[in-house]
Amino acid sequence: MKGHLQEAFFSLLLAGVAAFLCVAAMDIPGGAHGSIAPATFPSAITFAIALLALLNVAASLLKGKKADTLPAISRQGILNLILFIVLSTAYIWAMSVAGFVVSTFFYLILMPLLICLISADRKGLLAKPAFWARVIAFALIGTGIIYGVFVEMLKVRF
Amino acid sequence: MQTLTETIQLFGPLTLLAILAGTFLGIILGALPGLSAAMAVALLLPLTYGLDTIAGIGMLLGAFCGAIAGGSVPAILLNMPGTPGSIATTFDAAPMAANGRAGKALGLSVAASFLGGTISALILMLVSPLIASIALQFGAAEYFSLSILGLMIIVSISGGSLIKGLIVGLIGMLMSTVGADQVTGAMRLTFGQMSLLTGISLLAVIVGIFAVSQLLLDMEKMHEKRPSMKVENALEGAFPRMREVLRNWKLLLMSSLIGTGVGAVPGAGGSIASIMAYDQAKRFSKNSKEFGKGAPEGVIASESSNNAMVGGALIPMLTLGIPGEGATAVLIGGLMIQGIQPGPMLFDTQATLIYGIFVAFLLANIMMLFVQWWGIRLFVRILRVPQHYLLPLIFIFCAIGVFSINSDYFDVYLMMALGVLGFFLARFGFGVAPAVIGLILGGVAETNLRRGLQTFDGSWEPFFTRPISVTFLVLALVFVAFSLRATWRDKKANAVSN
Repeated sequence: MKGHLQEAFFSLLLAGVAAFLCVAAMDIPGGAHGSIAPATFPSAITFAIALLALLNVAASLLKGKKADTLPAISRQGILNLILFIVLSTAYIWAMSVAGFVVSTFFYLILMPLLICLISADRKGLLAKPAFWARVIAFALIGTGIIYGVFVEMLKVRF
Repeated sequence: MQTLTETIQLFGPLTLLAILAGTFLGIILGALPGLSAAMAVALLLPLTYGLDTIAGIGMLLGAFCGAIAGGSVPAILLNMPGTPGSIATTFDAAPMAANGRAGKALGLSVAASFLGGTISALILMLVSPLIASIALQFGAAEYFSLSILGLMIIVSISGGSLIKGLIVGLIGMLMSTVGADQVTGAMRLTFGQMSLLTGISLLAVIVGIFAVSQLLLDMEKMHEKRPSMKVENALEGAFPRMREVLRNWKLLLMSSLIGTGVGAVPGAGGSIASIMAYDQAKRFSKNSKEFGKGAPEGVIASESSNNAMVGGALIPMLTLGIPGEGATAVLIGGLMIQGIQPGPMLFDTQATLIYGIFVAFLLANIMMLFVQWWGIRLFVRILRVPQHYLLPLIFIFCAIGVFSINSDYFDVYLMMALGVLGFFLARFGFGVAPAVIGLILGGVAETNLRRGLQTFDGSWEPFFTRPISVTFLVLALVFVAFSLRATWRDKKANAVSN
């Protein structure tokens, strides 16, 4: 999909979400009490977002006819994003289940590996044993430092 | 005298250490290409939660100054600006580095950043109380109009498209409405989620929109081959070139004034400040032909103006509670997390805090000079840290930082979702800064609109008849008109060139 079409699709999605939120905002109870009702501000804002997003759909489609200046997100780019989002969301979930230390240690091993796996410049590193030793050392030291800063110094409780 | 004594008492060892740590980390983060000053301040924000107000805000100010100054390191050594404010630095510093004068360029940059920042700190101290005393006379109508003006300026200056800027600003304003309504207690857009009762976590928005979206932008291009980065090793003479910068005092003063002035205009930012100062320096220089080929004056102009921008940006933030750009929006977030609402009332009720902020900013500039002086070789090494180590570390810092405020995993998931939204907004040219600014101004606008309507018995008339209020609204319209005109001109120019 070309860049301007991706932008139009994103704007359309934005308009849809704003329209849904506008309907939800209109259901907010409470009267005006001499001022404006609690529903007024969010309803007006969501309505304006929906309207402007639709305008942007039209603008990006019209712009696309003349010149496609916006580089599109490639399939590999989307795959990179999905992998990052899935692994990072899994890390947040793992933190709540397995605790901070274990989840952070594994995240600090898995994420560098993932980046090296998808990066053209870094793929070769995976074949070197020294790289693996470095990653494990990085995960150990990284977990230790973050633990020290947040748990010991700032008293964050997980 | 009493205020002065109280202000001095605020600066204990912990506060000084916090400013030093903020400056040090700010320089490191600013030196990493792709990380903006706003992101640097956002990343350090969770660390300030456990500190007292002045230590926390001092740390953030240190990070702000440090990040802007640190942006010059890759600009000089890699011809790649670390932050947008260092764009103009590359014009002359990179040719200097290519000719074996990297050390001199770094030395000039350190001295110019310090002097520019210090001049802007002095202007901030002189101008802010005057503006605050005028702003003290503002009522609800004026504040509502001012927040609309602030948003319109940011929307019309920060992005290429007015529609896109408005959408992002409104998304921010919408986020400010989530949670229990302050007047009636009605639940607004919480969808039964208990974590949203008190509103959307400001830190989740800031970190998600500024930091996580940047990580996603980096991740998107991770598969592409990158040009190998050769870090210039010739750092001979990399000490602050104070005498050389002071010899160009007229240039320094002009650039610092431009930086402070541009910084005080909401939405303008460091890149505009440095390019404007560079342009003026070139125009008035006797060696204008040398500009772009390694002229030291170019480095002085750019670096003094971008650090002077910081002091300028603090003027509307402290006096009116209006964030000038991304980093000051995060700073306001830092103050709000500490339970402080910036604005003119602060000058009246918490003068000690205000003077403490002034002193902290001045100290941050001084510390920046020494940290850069002694740590220059370390900061150059930072450029060699591989991205596959940096990215996960930054994400963990974001996640735990956001979690630490309310100990609620919902905030971390929200940060992730907002990061994805921020990625698409940035990727399709919408920009992200207006969202955070909208979040802060949205609350101000709605509260004052409702307060004003209650005061004026439901009448909208005073919003359009009170002189200051109507002036702000007219100015907002003027900015929109200028933005539309600029867009129309660009389109026309493109059509002609096609």
